[in-house]
Amino acid sequence: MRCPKAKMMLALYVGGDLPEFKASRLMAHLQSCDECAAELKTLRQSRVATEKIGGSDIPKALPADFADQVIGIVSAGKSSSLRQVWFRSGFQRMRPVAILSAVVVIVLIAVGVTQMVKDNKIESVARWRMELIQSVGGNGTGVAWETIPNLNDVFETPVRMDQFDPPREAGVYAVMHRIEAEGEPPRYVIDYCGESRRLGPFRGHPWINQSKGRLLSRAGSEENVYIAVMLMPDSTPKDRRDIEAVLIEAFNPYFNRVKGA
Amino acid sequence: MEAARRDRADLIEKARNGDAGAFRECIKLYGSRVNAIAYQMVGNGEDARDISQEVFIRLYRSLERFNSDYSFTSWLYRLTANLSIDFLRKNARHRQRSLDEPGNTVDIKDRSPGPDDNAESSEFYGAINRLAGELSINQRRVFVLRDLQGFPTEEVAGILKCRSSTVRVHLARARRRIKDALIKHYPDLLEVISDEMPES
Ligand SMILES: [Zn+2]
Repeated sequence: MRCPKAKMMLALYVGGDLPEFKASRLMAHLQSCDECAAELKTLRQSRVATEKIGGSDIPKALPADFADQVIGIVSAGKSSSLRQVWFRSGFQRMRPVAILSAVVVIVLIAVGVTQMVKDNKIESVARWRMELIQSVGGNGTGVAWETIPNLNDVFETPVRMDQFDPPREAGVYAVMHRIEAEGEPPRYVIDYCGESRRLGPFRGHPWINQSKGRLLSRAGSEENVYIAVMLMPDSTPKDRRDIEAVLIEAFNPYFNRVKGA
Repeated sequence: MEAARRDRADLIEKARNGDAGAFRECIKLYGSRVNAIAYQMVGNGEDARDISQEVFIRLYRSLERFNSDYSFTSWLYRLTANLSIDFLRKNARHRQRSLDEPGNTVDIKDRSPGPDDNAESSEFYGAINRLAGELSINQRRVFVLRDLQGFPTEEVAGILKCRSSTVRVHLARARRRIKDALIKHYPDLLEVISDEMPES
């Protein structure tokens, strides 16, 4: 065993996160390596220090009227103040920037939809479809993702592709690129919606495909590719295609139009 | 344990049926944990509170999807971590543009908590942010959930919807970076601990 590997294993070992059979190999290495033995000592100290600090640097309790505030917001049907807060603090720091375009692959996490499909409440999917189509109102100039509750409630936040590690489960996904302009919430143009029997490791169109070049040219750069998933673990292909169809109808994505053409 | 779990499922059921009192109970039950995760993720009490508020608003709008306590808490903590990450990214991006600094490390030193931010004025005030500020986003959320919040690795994987092996990779890197950050920022503390620790 080489030291770099041993040091990574040590970092797990100190928290009890290393499987036993690996631990015994690690101990054998420590017998003959002073450097790694010293590393273990420091990691142990670091762990104690982390506990001390973690127990000391704690947030102020939520205000007594916190629950009232939340209930006030939801019962008034208002959208939250969070977005405004985020943008306010963001814009103070922002310089005039040219419109930044990014490809975002969204993997849509839709436990709620899964449940609807599983319970065979097709009218719920139909209602969701109606609400979504009404609130999207076209995709050409992008949609402000975070302002569409029907998306936002069902899907999780987009994740950057290079940080994306989907589980080996069935689900639905969509691809989009982001348009960001000063003074506005970011908007997303959905480029593709698809479904897969197994999302992880992600091999979806058009990311792992011949169309990737076109995707990137629509987007700008590979670094700006984002992804998020809608997991539907117990779904049938038809369940997923139903959801996919709603998304395609709502967004009319470019790659669904040209795929195979 | 099982009874507590049933109670919680019951509470969610009531909240789902429009019982405002039950929803209020949910906030009481999970609010501190949500707020703590958000605080450890973003390092600022005021922002953490905003994130917590958003979490419970989204919870309210999503109540009908939950039928078990397990999926509920995983979802809740995942949402908290994700909203915190959104927040960090937005701030990092804006700062990156203005400072033109490369790298994916989320440095939020300029958002260090102010004097009114925290009721505690402990000697380690703002320390988590100083340390975790040296981590990448993935390392930070794994570090917060595993080492600060104490969720077992398998549960962290469940919350983040990724494999345990992925959690371990980020965790190992995070712990090593935290160790280096401690040496950099809190050398005295390490020395004290070193004196207290038995030789093994
Ligand atoms: Zn070694």
